[in-house]
Amino acid sequence: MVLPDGIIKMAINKVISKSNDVIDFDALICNIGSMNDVDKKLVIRITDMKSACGLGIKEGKMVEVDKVDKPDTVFSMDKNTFSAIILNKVDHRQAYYMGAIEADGENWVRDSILLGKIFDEIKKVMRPGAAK
Amino acid sequence: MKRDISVIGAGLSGLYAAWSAASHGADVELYEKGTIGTKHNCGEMFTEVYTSAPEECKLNRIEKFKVIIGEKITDIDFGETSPFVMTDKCKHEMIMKKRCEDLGVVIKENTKYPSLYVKGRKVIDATGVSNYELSMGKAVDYVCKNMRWNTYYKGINLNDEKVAVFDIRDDLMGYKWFFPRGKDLSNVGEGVYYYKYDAEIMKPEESNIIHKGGGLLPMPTMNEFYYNMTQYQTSIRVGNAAGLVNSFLGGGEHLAVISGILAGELVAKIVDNRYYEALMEIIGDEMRFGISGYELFRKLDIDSVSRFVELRLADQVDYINLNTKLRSVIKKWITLPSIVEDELKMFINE
Repeated sequence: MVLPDGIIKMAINKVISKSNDVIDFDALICNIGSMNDVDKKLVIRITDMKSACGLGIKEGKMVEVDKVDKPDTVFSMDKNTFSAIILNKVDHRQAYYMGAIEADGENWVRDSILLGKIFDEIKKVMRPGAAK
Repeated sequence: MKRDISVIGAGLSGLYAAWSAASHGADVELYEKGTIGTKHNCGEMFTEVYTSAPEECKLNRIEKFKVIIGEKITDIDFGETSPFVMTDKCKHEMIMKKRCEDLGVVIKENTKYPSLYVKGRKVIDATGVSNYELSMGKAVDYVCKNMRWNTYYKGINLNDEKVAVFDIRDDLMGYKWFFPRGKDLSNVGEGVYYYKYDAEIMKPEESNIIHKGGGLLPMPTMNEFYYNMTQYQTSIRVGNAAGLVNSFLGGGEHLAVISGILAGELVAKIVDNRYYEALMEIIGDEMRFGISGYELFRKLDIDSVSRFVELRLADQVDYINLNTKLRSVIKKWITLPSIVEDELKMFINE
């Protein structure tokens, strides 16, 4: 069964609004990164949608993907993978290792750690009871 | 009652951070997702150069080191005044728990903290090695088959000569350690390096060292530690969570304790998140390359360690290929679940 694009967009909007209410992304990025990461720009791109879609981290805020120019690292995944992660049905690290997430960027190993932290925090905020 | 400071994670670094902050007058709450003093079934080596471990948890002192790199063997004898002591980590944690309770720290065991990055809250992050790093370790573990990631054994009768052995593989991908047995606790393990900056920890000329009262604190990199310690907006990391692990000087025990004590004092004193200024105030002009640190590295055979680091940094290990191998192995283990529309709708409407 193919997940409709509209549902994914609604889920993304919910993640963005709820995360920005609670999570201090500046602090999160500072905690993982090095001096060069102050203005880190990350993108989670959903690959199998008709129009460009996904999440971005820019200037300490979570935003829609099209608002991030020249990201440092891009993580690509399909709709099902993204949904499985935010619904806590698969760990993002497992998804990465099984090849469901592709990373592209100069410091992608370090940024993968950051991505992991971001997902950890998002899951706690979105579904406090279900977070591992 | 609103608490000033939340400490997340009640391993040694978290316990010391909570204790340190409370002893500087802060109201502290300490969260632990499990139960304090139950996680470890091994002894740990504690390096007593900055501070001592409580007497009640000490097992025996390690007087000799044997560092093996390839065919080269270096023996180091620290004698009876060796700063390295085996400790019972569970007992150590229970002692610190009691000390925290005595100072009025509110301890919440079997309780998860909602988020480390909630706005406007002073947080000490003592959550240990991240799951990501552990999963990397476990994956490397599988690929390297005959290696294990921080594997401990209980009750192995190693030797009674008070010798710690570090055996570094020729291909520089891994190392073993054997710490002498004390009572029924010992510590044996095999590890792998999977980040380049792991090796930097052991490169003294590129590591900075905070030296206070005869102690030392080797750090991941010069900038990174200052950045981690000083540039946070709402939280500060300690112990393994801050990457303060040093294989050659006894895991992260003493680093956990030192960073916990410093961070607790720092956060208790801070008024407006000026972490950098507060850190300077605590450490002052003692923040420099510690002479004791260099002496210690020299005793550990600086040539061997440097050679090891050099080769590590010279890209002897192909990290990209290693990663590809890991992924191909893990792919066999996991199946991605299919998500139905209704599940997402529920998520959106929650």
